[in-house]
Amino acid sequence: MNKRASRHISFIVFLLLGMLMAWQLKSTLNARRAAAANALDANMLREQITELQQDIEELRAAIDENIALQNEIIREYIELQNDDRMSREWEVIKLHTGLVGVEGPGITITLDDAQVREPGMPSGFFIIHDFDIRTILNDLKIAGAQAVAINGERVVPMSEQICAGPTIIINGNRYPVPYVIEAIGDPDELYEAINTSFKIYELRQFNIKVDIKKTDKIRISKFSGADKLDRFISGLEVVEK
Amino acid sequence: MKIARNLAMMLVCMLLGIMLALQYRSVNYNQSIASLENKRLEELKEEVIRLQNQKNELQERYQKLEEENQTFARVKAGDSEAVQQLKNNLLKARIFAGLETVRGAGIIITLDDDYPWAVMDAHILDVVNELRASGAQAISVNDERVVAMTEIRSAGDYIMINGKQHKAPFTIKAIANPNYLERALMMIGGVVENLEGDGLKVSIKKSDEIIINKFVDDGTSIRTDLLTPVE
Repeated sequence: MNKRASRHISFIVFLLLGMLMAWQLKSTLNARRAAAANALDANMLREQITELQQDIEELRAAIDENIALQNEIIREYIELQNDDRMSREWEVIKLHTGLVGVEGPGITITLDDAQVREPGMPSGFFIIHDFDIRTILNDLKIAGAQAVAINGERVVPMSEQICAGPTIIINGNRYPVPYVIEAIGDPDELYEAINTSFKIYELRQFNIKVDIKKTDKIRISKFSGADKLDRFISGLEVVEK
Repeated sequence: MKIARNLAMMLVCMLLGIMLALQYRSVNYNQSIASLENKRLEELKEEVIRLQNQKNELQERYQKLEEENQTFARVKAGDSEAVQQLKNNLLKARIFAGLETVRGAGIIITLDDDYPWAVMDAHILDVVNELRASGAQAISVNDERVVAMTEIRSAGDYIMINGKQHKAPFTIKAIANPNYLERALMMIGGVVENLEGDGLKVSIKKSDEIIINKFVDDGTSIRTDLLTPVE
């Protein structure tokens, strides 16, 4: 009995072993094949992404060039008109309203959420809100800022700053912390106004990281929608006066 | 002999058990790798689609600009169509900048003090921001056109807007793309509740025709002396 039984047992054991090996082999082979196929696909997709990114860069540059060209033609045309009011208004449109990039002295404010939160206090106190940004923006305007950008988005007449979860939407684009506010104006005046403002005092109380720097030269790019103004004036009809 | 055989049997069984455990883990691992790869692949595919859309949009804008510029190039030669095109573009920029008086459908919001509660700069800022966020294309506060660097600040009994003094009641007018108007009203509803919570008198009116005055540039409230254009 012993010999027979052990033979049976051996048989079953080896049968199992065989099945196991087959299973293992299949799983490993499958995984390898899948991984290889995926890797191939992933590489192709990555290449495609790089290509697209390049195309987008090139298109952006080409668009900017065309806008610059148009601005140049408009400038020449206005010069020829010899109309001071028109010239002044064109300056306002271009520089103040944000249809061209500008350069000048000013300050850079960098804000980041607090790293250390005091226990027992609502966590909302330690993060930056849309209304904080709005107040700082208004303070900058009061202090005579001539051009402002938030995370690179030029502030134009209808620029909104609204909260969307942990991010803020500006000109329809979403930005996470840190928030970088650049303002061109008299650096001393802007610095003084912001550094001593109630808003900045309040943010510092809650460990929000605030960094204010004066700079000789800040570059603020033009409004991201400068070449699709139609979208922003579609509901407006001019009233002759 | 018997002991030796049993021992061998035991060894084989143990080995088998260990292998089974290892096997199970390995198969599970292989599966998780495969699903992870798939997920990354999905993300990459989404990225490609997003970029493709962006590229298409830019392409369209580029083509439109190219066409415009071909017309523009004839401005110097005095081509009337070209000059008209240039004037059109200029007008669009003027409208956008707030240098034209405009008409359109929109909403009128009035804010008034209700002693002892007074309208503060923050109240007006909130309303204006909410209007912008809901697609307003032109806004004025007490006929003071809101432009890029318009500031709103309490100063004593007054609120300064575009460097000029204003007092309650405040009439905030906004023209919004009619498609967004309902949404604008709804969003403003939330702000209105807050304002009423602060004790102010608030009223909202929808109107098919609102006229918003142009920005009056007397050279003091808009300054551009520190700005150098970079093309």
